[in-house]
Amino acid sequence: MDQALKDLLERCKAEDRSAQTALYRRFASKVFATALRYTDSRDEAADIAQESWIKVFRHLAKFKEFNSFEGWVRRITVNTAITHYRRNLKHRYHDDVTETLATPLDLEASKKADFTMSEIQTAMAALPKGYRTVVQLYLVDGYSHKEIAEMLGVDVNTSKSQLSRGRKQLQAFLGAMSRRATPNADMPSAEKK
Amino acid sequence: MNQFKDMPTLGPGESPWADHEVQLREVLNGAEETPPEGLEARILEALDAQTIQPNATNRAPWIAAAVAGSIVVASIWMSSGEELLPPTATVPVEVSAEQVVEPVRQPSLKQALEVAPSEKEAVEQQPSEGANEASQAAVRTEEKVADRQKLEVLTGLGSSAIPASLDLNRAPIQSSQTQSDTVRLTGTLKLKQ
Repeated sequence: MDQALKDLLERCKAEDRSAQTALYRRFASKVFATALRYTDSRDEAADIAQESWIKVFRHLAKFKEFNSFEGWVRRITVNTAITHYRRNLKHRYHDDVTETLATPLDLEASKKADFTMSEIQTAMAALPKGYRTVVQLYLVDGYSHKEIAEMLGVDVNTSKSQLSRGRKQLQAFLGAMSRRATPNADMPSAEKK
Repeated sequence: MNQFKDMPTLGPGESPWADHEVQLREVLNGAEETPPEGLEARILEALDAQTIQPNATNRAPWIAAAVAGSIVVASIWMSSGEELLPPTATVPVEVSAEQVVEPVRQPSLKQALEVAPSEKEAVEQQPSEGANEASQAAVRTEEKVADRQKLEVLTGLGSSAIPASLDLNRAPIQSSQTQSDTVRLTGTLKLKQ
């Protein structure tokens, strides 16, 4: 952790408003992006981000300097997002699961393609919310199946199966995108001719 | 294969991480999204509100305890209301001591009858028996003073002319001194005339 950030955190602990503003501006876009990953609307993401920042400032004294501050803030944001997710769940967890069968061609295409940020976000957004949440928690944020099961209030095996199905669907979406982006991918190119 | 070293470990039977999943993880972890403009102000407002709130929240348990305590005391007082009445019931004891002067009052019976209506009013206004007795005692004390004045007018003697030992108004009234003392007083007055 750099000295400037340490100083900023010390001033934030003393409830210095200007330091709190500076800290917010430094990490706001990352916190909001994390919040946005776990929800479908920017309004709800803003609520999650607000709640997360208040927790960050309130519990700043508990933060240990040898840890990554960004990682600590992200964990708080993910936990807050999951609390929102569970609050809004209302028996949707299993209802929104719709299987889409990926063809072997899609899977191959997804493995080879180099995707843009927009494509990845679109593919993630296309996943059923239950799958998306587990895939993000496990693949992106690095939580274990046990932690995910506790966070979501589900069985460990449910977490595993949701991840497996989510991964397959993600591959299918990305493969389909890749094939649409390069419609003649399977065809020999004109230059080669 | 170095790119997979940071990926979460997979359980047995799960398909290995694909390139697109590594890319997805990297892209989403580094993602930044500009938060809504008003979010910063909302967070700072919430922080300001929380710095004021703690005092109120610290006081809240004390206020709640005080209210609960007063309710308990009130309920105990209400349930044992009859037991707490006796202190007012002691008033008649004092009144009985005053009743010793009853024979002296007899000459001004007419006046006593004139007072009676107001006394009756007092009875109607006072709900408790003890308070009624107290008001009667007050009326009798007034009557006693009036009687003494009448006696002075009738006899032409000042109260100082009567020996202290024989002056009923000066001598301490004993509950044992009843009609026998009154008879002696009447005899003395005749001798003086």
